[in-house]
Amino acid sequence: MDQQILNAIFIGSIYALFAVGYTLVFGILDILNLAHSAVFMLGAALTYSLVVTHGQPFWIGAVLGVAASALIGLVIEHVCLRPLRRRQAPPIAALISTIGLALVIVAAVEQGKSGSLFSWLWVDGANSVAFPPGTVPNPTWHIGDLTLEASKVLIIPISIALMLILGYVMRFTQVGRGLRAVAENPRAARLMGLDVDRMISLTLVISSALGGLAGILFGLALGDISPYIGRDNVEVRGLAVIVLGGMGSIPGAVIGGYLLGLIEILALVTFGSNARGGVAFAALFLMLVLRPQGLFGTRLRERI
Amino acid sequence: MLLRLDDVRRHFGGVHAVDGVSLEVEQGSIQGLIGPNGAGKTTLVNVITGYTRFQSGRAWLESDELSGLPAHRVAGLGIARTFQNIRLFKDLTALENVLIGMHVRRRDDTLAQLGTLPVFRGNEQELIKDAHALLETVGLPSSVGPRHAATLPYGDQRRLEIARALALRPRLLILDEPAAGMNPSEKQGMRELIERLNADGLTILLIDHDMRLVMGVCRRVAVLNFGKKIADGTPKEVSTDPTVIKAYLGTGGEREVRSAPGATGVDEEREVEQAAGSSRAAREPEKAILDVEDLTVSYGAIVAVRGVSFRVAAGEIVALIGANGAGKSTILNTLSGLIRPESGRATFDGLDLANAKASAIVKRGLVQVPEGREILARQTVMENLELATWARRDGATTRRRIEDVLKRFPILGERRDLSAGSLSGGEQQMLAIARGLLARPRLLLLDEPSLGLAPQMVDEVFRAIEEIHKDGTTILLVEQNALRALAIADRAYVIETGRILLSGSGDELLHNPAVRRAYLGG
Repeated sequence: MDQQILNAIFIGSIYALFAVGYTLVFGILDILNLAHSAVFMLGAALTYSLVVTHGQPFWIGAVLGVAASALIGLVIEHVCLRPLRRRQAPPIAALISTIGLALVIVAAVEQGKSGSLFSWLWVDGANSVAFPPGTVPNPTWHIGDLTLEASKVLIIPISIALMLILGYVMRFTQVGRGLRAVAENPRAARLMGLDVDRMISLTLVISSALGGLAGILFGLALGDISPYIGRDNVEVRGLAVIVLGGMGSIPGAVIGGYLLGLIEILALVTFGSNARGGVAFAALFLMLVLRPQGLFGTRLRERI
Repeated sequence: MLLRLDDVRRHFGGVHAVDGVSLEVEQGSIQGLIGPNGAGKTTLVNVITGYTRFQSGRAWLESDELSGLPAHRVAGLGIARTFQNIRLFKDLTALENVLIGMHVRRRDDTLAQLGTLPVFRGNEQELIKDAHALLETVGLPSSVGPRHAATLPYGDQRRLEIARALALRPRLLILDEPAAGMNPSEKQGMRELIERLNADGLTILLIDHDMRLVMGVCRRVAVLNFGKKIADGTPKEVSTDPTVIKAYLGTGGEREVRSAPGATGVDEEREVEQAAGSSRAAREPEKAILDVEDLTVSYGAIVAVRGVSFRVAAGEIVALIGANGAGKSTILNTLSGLIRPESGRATFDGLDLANAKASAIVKRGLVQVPEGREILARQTVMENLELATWARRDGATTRRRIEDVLKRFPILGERRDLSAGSLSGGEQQMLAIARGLLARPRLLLLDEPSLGLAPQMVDEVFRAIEEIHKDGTTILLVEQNALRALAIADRAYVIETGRILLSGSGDELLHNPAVRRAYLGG
């Protein structure tokens, strides 16, 4: 049981890290960026290729993986969001354009085989792979019944530190105030001299960097990297997490991430492994019925 | 009496949107309902029609009690309305929109409406015939019938809304700003339509900001201000009532306004021409910090600003005054880069405002304090102020500038750690102005700084504006409180339906009857 709780915390960290980026974009644009799970996958896939195919040390692969994810954030903004915003398209249009980009990214990775156009990016097609043992030093400790692997345990402080930094930036710095201003009232922000388009680009960069990093940590710790890890593991769970926490709320996404991790593990222990997938939806459903605004959300209400 | 209201009240939090209004609408009449922005007119209509609940008071349509009924029951009793913002079913055809309006009249049940059983076809055909007749009544050609509502020109959409309301066969028709956004010839058409409907026996309650329209067609006009009825009478009585004039034009502050503009009985037409003729070229400054030339701005089919030209020189206070919907805020938003003009030029200190980014405009020193204040309610007062230095950050002195501003507005210092949303209206206005100052404006645009404020607070806001001006900031002021604005302005432009009607020095216009007419018609 103790082991399970530890697992809950560490998978919760990944959910939280992923969902923080998800909710950040929603909070500022009122748009669900459904390409976020593709960025998660791309971060992991690119880092894997840099390490295994191109023979780079892990830390270089990870840094480049995060940087590339951040760049994809800019692509999302410039290709999927800004042109639609210019035309004052409804949010559903942006939602669909991000789904489109996610499909393109997943398809591109899927096509990656040796000798193909995308071989620099990925050579394993639709297969699932894992970092070879020894990619990172991975000492393992045994304390009582607990098995502690460094690669898993480290995820927890890394995630928490990053989320604290983001929380600090949002709460106490001028950039954070600017982002919150854009979220609350873009018109007022523009009248105060903020370049709203640039703030939105920045949001997507931060969000995607976090999403890519979450993917890299996921791939490292779970030994499962394939074109489908985003779709299968975090796409809908991430949505459940931000609904649990309250759409657009960063602390909500953090708490929601750990909460979902915990609920899943409890379901696994109680009902067996088949229950794990469904429990996210059950939690999502209950939350929507009982408290639609989520744990930390402000009231969802449209003005007449 | 067709409609009778007795002491109707509706509060939102602490705001008394409708505060004990009693009103009677005579069978077969056209009753006007006017009042400055935020007076509670639309809220009153929402209460009558069941869109918003009664807090207290009662209302009757003849002998039927309305209080407490939901909207569809009120409609069933025979009150139809149109909306300030057009609310047609945009994806349905014009004919279908009217047919939906007939819904409450249909006898057959839902099941029959689902299928077109032959038994009901006769009924359906009849309804379609009626719908076509209604389109014709409001002046829409039958070719409009099959077109989607969204594709119709703006004026036709307004007419279609009326046709849909008429489909209820109402005993009372409430028109909420039917002429908003229309050009003069469309307005004339609307006026004729209203008169024709009334001549056919329909009782109408008309709400509009266009005084020419209201005063022209209504037999009686009631005036609301701050949720209370302040006058009720014939158009002539109302437009010369000192309380009404004060509500619309404001008061001149220390200067007691005994004779309202126009009360002196001079030849108004001639005076308008003189003012318009003499002031334009002669008084406009040669060297201007802001130069606007032939500016035209549209929202889709609605032309809000039509070829406006004016200038502001460094050190001036210039006021743009005019009734609600005249296009004043649109002008300011165009200058701030939030809206792009259709044609014309606007330059500020060499910067082409028609193409510059909003953020670049603020950096250059043209800063707007927007209507409705638009403070960031979820952030603290201090955070609002710190963010306001965004465009002009200069390290160490930023802190000092914030402290300076807090000295000017001590109340903000006391409230610095409270969320801005918890401030009173007047305090929020002070915060909005303080925020504007922190962006280091060389030209400060103030949009309706006194809107919705209690008189005492208005005094304070105007005192602040004068102080800021004394410290060397040029000010372009948009105000509905015309007398107040004219009292402090060096020069002013009177705007009506998107055009500059006349201009002159603040003093001249203060005594010009045409100003009153721009607000109250006549």
